[in-house]
Order: sequence, then structure tokens, then C-alpha cells
Amino acid sequence: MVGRPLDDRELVARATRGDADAYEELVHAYQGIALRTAFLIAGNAADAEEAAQDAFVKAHRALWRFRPGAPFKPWLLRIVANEARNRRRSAGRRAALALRAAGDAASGDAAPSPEAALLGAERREELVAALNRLGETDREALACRYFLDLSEAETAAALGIRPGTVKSRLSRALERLREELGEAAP
Amino acid sequence: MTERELRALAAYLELPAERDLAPAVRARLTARPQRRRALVVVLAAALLAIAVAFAVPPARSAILRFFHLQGVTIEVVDELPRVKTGALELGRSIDLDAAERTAGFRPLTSGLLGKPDRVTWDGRQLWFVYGETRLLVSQFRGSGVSVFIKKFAGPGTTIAPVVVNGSQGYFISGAKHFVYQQPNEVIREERVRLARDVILFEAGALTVRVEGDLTRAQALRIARSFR
Repeated sequence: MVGRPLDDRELVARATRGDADAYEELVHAYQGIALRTAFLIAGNAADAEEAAQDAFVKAHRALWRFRPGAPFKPWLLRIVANEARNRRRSAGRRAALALRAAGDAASGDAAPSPEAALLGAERREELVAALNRLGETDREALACRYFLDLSEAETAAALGIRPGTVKSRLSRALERLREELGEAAP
Repeated sequence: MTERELRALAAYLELPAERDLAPAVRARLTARPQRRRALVVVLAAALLAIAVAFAVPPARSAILRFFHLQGVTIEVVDELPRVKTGALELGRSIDLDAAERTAGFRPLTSGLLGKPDRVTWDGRQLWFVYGETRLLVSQFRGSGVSVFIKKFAGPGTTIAPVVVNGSQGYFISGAKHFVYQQPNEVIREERVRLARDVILFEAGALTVRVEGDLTRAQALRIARSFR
């Protein structure tokens, strides 16, 4: 009989007790989102991989501080985001978004969604250019919410801000993005 | 510009390909304690009727904080070694009158506790046992020794600096902690035990350790009575 997969709570509890396999399952479950988060903040693939790896190591060492029953993903992403931000700062550069080269498949997607397919090439370039003119704070908030598809609570945790602040930060970031695009608020 | 457009844009952004981080993470988590394993040897004996024998420390443990006294280092780690029950050793019994000659130093005695019920010498430490192991005191020459006792404390352990008769000390209480002896850093045996509340302090060239079910005030009162 195949046992049911363990949920995060059980995996965290086991990992805290020293079960390396349980922690490895958590790494497998969250390495994708950790890498993407780190990349969008650090702006460099090598730094992103290092940041994600360091974050998993640090998270493991800090498991004893993890509140039992709390969601693991936002807690981990906060560590990831801090690691990525530290690397970006020490490299003294700005993270910049870029479009995939034409013909490259989107990661994990067989084909763009119908909505994505409607976004024309020119519009994509316009949006990315405008996003890259925004400050890091605005871009990080938008990236977490819209590119990583994090919930508001997860975005708050990843950015290290209060959940109540997420809405206002996103609203301001969207407003500035529209200004960059020369558009009026809807 | 709509939020829907932003969500759609995600599919076109350059993002790193997913890769398996688990092997590298596991390697890094298991790398450090290998070194520690070679350093660990037992210290103590016990108050309790049982002690614990050192099983191989697990691979994942990080040192979070250090505390030092002469001859003692206390490491707060994120994960304690796994232990199992085993026998205790306090060394051979000796007479209190012979303790100075045997140990090579004049032992401190407590006016508050009076004469110990049992005195033993394990070759490095002098042990005073009170009330059928309800209270245990060890003394050893700590000055000039870089690390004689290594103590591991879990993250839930409280380590409070204290002053005992003008000298530095620590009161260690709460969660589990372990003590090890590492004479010359040579592993001679692998035995360790769970410790109860402990006060460790310096007294001249000696380092003294008092262990029992004690409040901080009780521990301090007893510690200060050793002269």
C-alpha cells in the first residue's frame, strides 16, 4: 500500500527531529519557487541558485524557531528574499527583468495560457521596460504578487512587511507603473 | 495596464530553469558535524540513577552561540546529539581527607552543604556527591586548559551569566543539555548524559560545576558557599 504524501506540517516536524529525508522533500517541494523568487530579486541566475541554496541551509538550522503549524512556504521565502537581496546589494547592481528569447518555452508550461497569448510582443517589451524603471521596492512587490503568484499573506512574508501593508504597496507600485507607461488608472 | 496583463507577462519572463538543490543542501547540512564527532568525549557522571550514552551525533547541527569559562566551552546548537541510556562513571571513591593529595589541588568545600556523602576522583575531576546523587559538584583545574569540558545546549536552554564570589559563571537551565570531557582531544570513551540545572563558575585556578534540581537563587547560594 502506498502511504499518503506527508503534508508540510508533518515534514517540518520530522525535519526538526533530524529526519534528512523529510527535509529533502521540503526542498523538492519549494526549490522551484525559491529559485524564481531569488532570481527576481537578485537578478542573476548564479546568485539566485546560491541564495536559494543558502536559504534552505539556513532554514534548516532555524527550524527550531519555526512556529509549529505555521505555513512553511512564506517563512522560507522570507529567508530566500533576504539572501537574494543581500547578494544584489553586495554586487551593487539593480535586478532587471528580461523577456525570454523567442522560441524558449516557458518553464513548466507546454503553451502560453490564452491570456498570455493575447499579450503581444510589443506590449511585453513595453511592460518590461516600464517595470525596469521602477524602484526595487515596487518591482519586488509586483513580482511576488503577479509573477510568482504569491498570495498577499505570502507576499507580506517574503517581503518582510505587514500583511496590511501589501495592498497599499501594490497599489502604489501599480500606480507608478501606469505612470511609466503613460496610462491613466482604470 | 491591467493586473491581468502583469500575470500574463510572467509566462514570457526569463526565469532560471528548475534544478535539484537537494543534493547540495544535504551535503552542506551534513558537512560540519563530522569534525565535531572527532572531538566529543564524555565528561560526566550523574545525579540521576541513569545516564545516557553517546550515540553518534546527528549530521545536522549548527553552533548558534558560544560561552566560555576557563577550561569550559558551552555551545548552543540548533540540534542536540541523539542519546540513549547507559551507565554512569564518577571514578573511584576516595576519602575527602585524601582529595587534595589525589587531585593535586586543594578542593573547595561548602559550609552550606557540609561534608559530601561521597567523594570520587576520575583522574581529572573531583566529584562531591550529596544526598544519594541529588546534588553533584565537580571541580577541576581549569586555568591553562583551553577546553576541558565541552557542553552542548539546545536552543531552548537558558544560559544566564552570573557572578560567583567575584568570578564569572553561567547558570544553565531549561531544556536538555549535555556535557563532554575532551582530555587532550583524544577520544577515550563515548558516554554522556542529560544534565539538570547547572551552575558553572570559576574559582581561582579551578572551575566548579554544581548540578541539581535547583532554582537560580539556590544554585547561586550553593555556588557561593564553596570556598
